[in-house]
Amino acid sequence: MSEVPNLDIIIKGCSKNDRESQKQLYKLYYSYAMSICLRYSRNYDDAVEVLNDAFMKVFSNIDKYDTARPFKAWLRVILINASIDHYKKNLKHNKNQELSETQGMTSDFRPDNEIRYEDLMRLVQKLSPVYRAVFNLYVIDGYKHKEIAEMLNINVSTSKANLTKAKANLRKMLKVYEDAAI
Amino acid sequence: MQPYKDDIDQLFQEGLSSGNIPFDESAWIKMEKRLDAADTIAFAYWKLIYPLAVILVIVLAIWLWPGTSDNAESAPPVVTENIETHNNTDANPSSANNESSTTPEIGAKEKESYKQAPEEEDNAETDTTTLTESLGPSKISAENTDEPDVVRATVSENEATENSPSFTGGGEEYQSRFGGDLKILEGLDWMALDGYRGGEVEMTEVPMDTTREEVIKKSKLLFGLTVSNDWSAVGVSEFTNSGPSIGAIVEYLVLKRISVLAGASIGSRKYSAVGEEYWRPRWMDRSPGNEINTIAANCRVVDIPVNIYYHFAPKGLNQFSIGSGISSYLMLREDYAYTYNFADPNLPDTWVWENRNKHYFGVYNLSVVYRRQLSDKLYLGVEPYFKIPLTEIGIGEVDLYSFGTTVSLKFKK
Repeated sequence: MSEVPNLDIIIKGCSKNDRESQKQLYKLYYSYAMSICLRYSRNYDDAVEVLNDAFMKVFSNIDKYDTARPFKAWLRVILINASIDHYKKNLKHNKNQELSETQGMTSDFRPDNEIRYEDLMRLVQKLSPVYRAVFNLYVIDGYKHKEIAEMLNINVSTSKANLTKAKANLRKMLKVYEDAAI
Repeated sequence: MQPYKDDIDQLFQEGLSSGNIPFDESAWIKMEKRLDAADTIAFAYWKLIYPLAVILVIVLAIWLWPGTSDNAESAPPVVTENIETHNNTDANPSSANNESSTTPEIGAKEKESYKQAPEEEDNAETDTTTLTESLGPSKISAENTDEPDVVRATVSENEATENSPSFTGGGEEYQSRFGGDLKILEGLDWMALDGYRGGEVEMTEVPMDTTREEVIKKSKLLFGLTVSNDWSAVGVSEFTNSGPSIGAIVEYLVLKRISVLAGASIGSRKYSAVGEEYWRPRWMDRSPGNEINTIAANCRVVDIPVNIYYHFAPKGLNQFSIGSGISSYLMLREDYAYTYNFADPNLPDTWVWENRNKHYFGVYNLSVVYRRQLSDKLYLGVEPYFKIPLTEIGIGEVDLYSFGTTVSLKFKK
């Protein structure tokens, strides 16, 4: 049975290239999909671009989706792949982009008693692209370093080193955040 | 304030799982624009490749088919032998001159003259018949006579022993060999090196001009287009899925019976495997106790073979060969769909890899070829093959066996 009651009908509509069905599917999974895309992207606009790349793949391959299986899991793989594709596409640009992760932290954050979702997301987005990708793949999405290395075309040791650096940068940013909150 | 948690992993895993992002209409508008644009170019042009390949093969077949004007015009220079033979009823031994002339002519014209000659000479005591042969490694050997422009033909048959008397252009002997039915010998030059209708043929030392030598040299090289249907499986059973492929090849005759073929084809290898046969992805660690049950794979592969063929003696227009060689696989795209022993939304159902694996000289090829000569330029081949992996193929690191049949259309330049 589908995770959403009328999902089968929506997917059938999508397979017929029905625009209304496509919008329903897009809307239904927008929040879930955007939460993934935002993690892998530098900002909201980039995330929307990745999201739409992923949904283009979803719509063009909807016939390959097995309705007996969870749609969310299928979508998730496509979203992560689209995010990685986006990262690779901008690799040259990314290499020239040396970010100072702590820059602007004090003014961006509005500390209160709880670290909010938006704040954590912004911290991740402040990471350099390769750190962000490795951190997301390993920590949030559960991939192993060997898989990450293959996905990003880097060495396993590089993946491990990037993860360590990503975590170190996040700690640094969180410290700034904590100091600003005091 | 509550200090941030020291465990970065836990902080972000928990914190980022609670996001609720409101729907953004502007994002959908961008999406809709892309969908509208895609609709206009949604036609999958790559799907035209196979029909176009078939059309191309048909056009080439028609173009190169014997008797077409283009073919006749591009035919190599021919040797014309005017052999005077006796009419069955008006035999006149004295008129059996062993004369033949060498004249560069168009083959079609010669055939015309062959057909018309007996009628024109109906009242004559002897019939003059024109025998035409193409140059190249041909069925009839010629030797010089005293006269510079005259050659004699030597023909031996398959049944004849090594000591068989050779045909020297004499009408009676020629007629007796062919039952009075004089043949126009077509150019079976590349394939039928052993001669017309299986007979032994050797070129004697005939001074040849440059043009003739070039004709022979060119005839060793063939170009071809191939269409295959490939059945693949992990192991030597469970060949349940097939995928088409198309390709181009070049074949060169390095020795009398041995040729080397190289080429490239693009197509799909579809197979299924059980979990034990497949590389265990690391993501399975996320679902303890669970394992992959089956994998359905669809891989787009460029196959680059280098094969050697041994050609058996031709029988008429037909010839059999055996081939062996090595293929390199370039995995352009690997699509995998997984089923698990237990459903788990944390595990991916599909996985796609692009340009990840290249297996140089990773597959051993074995094949048998049936080849039929359609014209002096055109050959049709049917080649059942079997491919044995020498290395583990694809991201799944499977022992991928394949078999299938390649249909090829080869032509000489």
